[in-house]
This record gives sequence, structure tokens and C-alpha cells, in this order.
Amino acid sequence: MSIRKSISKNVAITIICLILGLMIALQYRSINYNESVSSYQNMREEVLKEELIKLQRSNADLRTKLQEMEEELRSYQTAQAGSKEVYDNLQKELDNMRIFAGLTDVKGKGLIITVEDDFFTVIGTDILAIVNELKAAGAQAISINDERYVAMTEIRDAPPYIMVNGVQMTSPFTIKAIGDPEQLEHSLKMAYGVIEKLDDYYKITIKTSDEVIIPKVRDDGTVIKTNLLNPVTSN
Amino acid sequence: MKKAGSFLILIMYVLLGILIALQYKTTLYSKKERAATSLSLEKLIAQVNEEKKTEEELLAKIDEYNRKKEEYLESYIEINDDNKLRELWNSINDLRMKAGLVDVEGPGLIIEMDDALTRDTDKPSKLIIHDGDLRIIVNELKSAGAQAISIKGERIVAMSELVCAGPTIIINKERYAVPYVIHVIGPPDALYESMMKSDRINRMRKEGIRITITKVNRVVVPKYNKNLTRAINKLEVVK
Repeated sequence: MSIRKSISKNVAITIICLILGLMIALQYRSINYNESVSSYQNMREEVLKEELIKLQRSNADLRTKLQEMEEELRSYQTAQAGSKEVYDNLQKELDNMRIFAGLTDVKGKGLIITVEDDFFTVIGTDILAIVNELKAAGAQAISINDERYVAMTEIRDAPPYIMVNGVQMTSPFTIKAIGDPEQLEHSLKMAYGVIEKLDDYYKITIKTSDEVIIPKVRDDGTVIKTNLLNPVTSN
Repeated sequence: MKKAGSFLILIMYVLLGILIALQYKTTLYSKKERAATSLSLEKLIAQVNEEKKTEEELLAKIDEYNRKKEEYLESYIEINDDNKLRELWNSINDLRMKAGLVDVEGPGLIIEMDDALTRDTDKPSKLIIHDGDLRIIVNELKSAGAQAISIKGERIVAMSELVCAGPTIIINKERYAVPYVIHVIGPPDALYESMMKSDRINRMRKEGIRITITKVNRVVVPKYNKNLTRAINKLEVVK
């Protein structure tokens, strides 16, 4: 074999090796790219599916509500003077609104949580975090030291006190919540959850109860203020 | 030497063959896959839009029924001159205001918040608005005398939660992204001052988060628009 032949052969092999290397690299990249594209699309699909299910559910709710309203309307149209049905309907509506606004004492299954000064003095922001977690877990009524938490309730630090609905309070704080006890407890106690974080600072106890009683908010115009609110008449 | 050389070439041919086959398959697969997912994505988007349209129609209908109900009731009360019922109807209308069940307007603030523009930091989490920030700001507004608050059109009621879900925040079980626009009715000066003094707002601004606070004579806060009965179905009245 001549030297020249062997050189040309080596060159050929080198070139082929180079091309092969290039192709492997390309292949690797294209597989990676495909994976990332499809995982992005899957994510978008998941989000959309979730949204769709939620919309379908809430629309079903709206349809039921519409049906109820239709019946109610019909009852007003055909009602005789002094109809008990009309009166009862409105009374029910009023009662429901009072419960929703926090103007009625209520009871139900739920959770009683106490938070007490330990290594640190309890601050309002942490009470607020617990209250928020309870709301996210489906609580329907909450009180802090028997002050009902309503729409415009503040939890304000004013050392050495915490003010709730303008009422001064100090440790220990008793937070009551009505809702599914298991769900409430689970969401407070979950890993990296709010209790795990606060447990190092304060003394915290959590107790489920079959009958949590939550008092109404005082209705003397100091908590629920409406003097600056006007109903919108035109848009 | 010669044997070793041809062996090497054989291996390379085999490799080349595998690679070509693989490449061909991936291209084919990705084409098929993309076609399939984009088809189902389009279908999903169309379905979501359809449901949104239905939702709007249903809500409009409910509003219409509410107006009709008012008309019917008022004329019923007039015709029958029913004082007991009139009293009841008046207290319902008063209570709507207290319960957050009616669109309201009044003086107050409009607060707009958006994530920072800069990406020049070692702590990227400080550049975005968190659920905790919104909680603290809303709580400060309440302390300063707010009478009605909405975020992105969601009325804040007693059980309104503010929870983060990835890059979005959930309010009244609905998911929202930046920019967060807060409408608040209350004494404008007191509200404005409390925002100016807020440690949280000052810290957020220092990190580059964009916050504008405007005093206004008239701001609209929409009503709570979720199912009321479901919101209280676990509550029993204490007699």
C-alpha cells in the first residue's frame, strides 16, 4: 500500500467522523427541541382544559340560578294580594344577605385555632396570613377573638395591641372558622404551609369542632360604613 | 491494518444508518404531533371562547331578570299597598349596599401595580408582585377607612382570598395576572396618605415594581357576582 493511499483514506475517515459528529449533535438538539415544544403545548392545554371545566361548571350554576329566578318572577306575576309566598321569598333573601354580610350569629362545623406569644409577640400580618389561608380553603365565616371578619375588617398592628374592627386585642388570639374541618386543617398544616412557618415563633393549637359559633359583627355604623357609597345608576 | 480500517468503516455506516432512520422518525413524529396538538389546542380555545360568550349572555339575562323582579315587586307593593312587604323590600335594598351586592361609586383611589421592568438582580422574586403584597396593601386600605374595594373587578367581600398560583393570583376563586388594578372607595386623603406611608409599597417601589396611585372623585366598584347561597351553605343561623 502506498503512503499516498493511506493518507487519503485517513482523510476520508476523518471527514466522515466529522459529519457523523455533526449529525449526532443535530439529532440531539432536535429531540430536545421537540420535547420542550410539546411540554409547552401540554402545559397550555392543561391550563385551557382547567379553564374550560371551570367555565362549564359556573355556567351550569348560572343556568340553575336563572331557572330559579324565572320561577320566582312567575310567582310575583301571578301572586294574589297579601301572598305569603312573595313575603317568604323576600324574607329568605333578606336572611341570606344578612348571613353573607356577617350580620347574623352563625354556627357550623369548623376549626378553632389559638395563636399565643412565645418566642415572639404575635403580629397582625401573621394573623392575616392564617385568615387568608382559611378563606382559600373554603371557610364561610371567620372571627378573631369573637370579632367577626367582614369585608372591610382590618387587622392592624398598634403595639402592644392588634386592632380588629377597631377593637384592641392581645395574645392569645382565638381564630374561629366555619367550613369543612378536614380541608381547613389540611390546608393550614400542609408542608411549607402557614402553620409550619409560624410554629417556630408562636404557640399554636388547632382543634376541629362540630359546633363552632361565630358572633355577628356590631352594626352601629363603625365597622360597616356606607356613607361614601352611592349605587351606580348609569355606566 | 486493512482489516481494522474496514471494521471502522462498517461501524460508521451502521451508525449513519441508525442516525438517518432516527432523524426521519423524529421529523415525521414531530410533524404529526404538532398537527395533533395544535388541532386540539384550537378546539379548546374555541370551546373556551364559546363558554365565555355563554357566560356573558347568562349574566346579562340575570341582570334583566333582576330588573324585572324589581319592577314586578314594586308594582305589586304599590297595587296592593302592602306596607309589611314595602318595609321588607326597603331593608333588602339597604342591605345590598352593606353586603357588597350592588355596584357602587364614590370618591377614592385607583391603584395600578405591575411587575418591575428590570431583570438586573440576583433576587428575581423581588421583581414581581406577590399575593402577600396585595393582602397587606388591601389590609392597609381597610385600616385607612376603605368602604368598598375591588381588584381586577372582583369585589372584596368577607371571604375573598388572595392566593398565589404560579405567576398569577387567585381572587374569589378566579385567576388574575398583572397588572393589578385596585379600585377603592373611601376618604381619598386618608387612603392616599396611608399608601404613601406604607412600608410595603415603599419597599416594592425600591425594587422597581411600578405602582401608580391616583386620587379620584369617582371610582366604580362592581358588585360581588358569585353564587350567594353557595357562599353560606355551611352556616346555620344561631337562634
